[in-house]
Amino acid sequence: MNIARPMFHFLTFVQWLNDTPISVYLREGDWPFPIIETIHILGLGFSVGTVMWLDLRLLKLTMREVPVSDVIEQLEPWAMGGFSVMLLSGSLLILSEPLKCYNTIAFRIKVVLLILAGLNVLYFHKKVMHNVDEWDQNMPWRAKMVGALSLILWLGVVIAGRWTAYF
Amino acid sequence: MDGSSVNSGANFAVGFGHWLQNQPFALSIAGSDWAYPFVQATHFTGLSLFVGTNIAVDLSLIGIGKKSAAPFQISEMLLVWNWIGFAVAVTGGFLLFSVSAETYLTNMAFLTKLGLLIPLALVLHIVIQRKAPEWETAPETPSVAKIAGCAELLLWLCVATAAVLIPYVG
Repeated sequence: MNIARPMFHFLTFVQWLNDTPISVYLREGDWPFPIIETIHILGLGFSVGTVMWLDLRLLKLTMREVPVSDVIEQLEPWAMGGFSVMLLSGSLLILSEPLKCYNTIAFRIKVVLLILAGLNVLYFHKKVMHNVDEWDQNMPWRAKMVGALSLILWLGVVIAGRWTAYF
Repeated sequence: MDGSSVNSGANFAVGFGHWLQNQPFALSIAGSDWAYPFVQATHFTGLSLFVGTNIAVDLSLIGIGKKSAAPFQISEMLLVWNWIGFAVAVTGGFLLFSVSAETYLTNMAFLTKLGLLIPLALVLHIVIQRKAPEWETAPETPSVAKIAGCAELLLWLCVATAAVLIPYVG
């Protein structure tokens, strides 16, 4: 049997995306790219800058006097808000150069690191955080692991991000 | 200032820029394939550690976010760390600057960022840092606090804008 199946080629999709009017506009206009980049950088500073302090608290390196649950309550909403800004502006940056992103190894690494960072947060909420009230007596190793992983992953995201822009 | 002293000032700046970018450390960053993005990442990480909690405090002063979980306690605890983050950002920034100092010293976006926007933002940040404990305990956030929070937020936005525009302006 030889039925022509509609095959989904990712590269074809990327090429199509690259040629859409919106992508061309974002790429060739004078203003869209710097404006979106500014928002992306500020969103990054905001989310990474709150998440890292949370990570350092999980590792017991800062704010040991403040209960972990307070630190999570005070920082996590901001980290999530900043992340949404970063994700939204980042999507527009991808849309402005889909082919370049697709072809850049650093960008692929960045996507993998972002997915891992997301899974790390999910794991933290589903499996680790349930007994957060007891952590001030005894910080479980899983919580420390989540903090260390998050720090490493976000450092990696920042490095891979700069690397993507550099090439 | 007459014309000649402006000129000698500019000459001194160009001379300094030329000297700095020919220092061994600047040359080795410029000559390396991978160092530049890493130095940039250092700059970004430092500025994140600095500006992340600043933005959270500013937004809380404006009245965004849950008041019961405002980040004042944390920003007070992180006072020293906040400035360590700033120091990391400055170190990374200085290294980036030294790679092509001569060009930066004649770049309007860079000069505006460093000479005007960052000093203004820093002054306001220090004021907010000192006043926040008082503002936070007030039953109603005073309007001066809201204005200060809004202004600091806008200033950091301007700093980021100026930074992004550096390669675009001559």
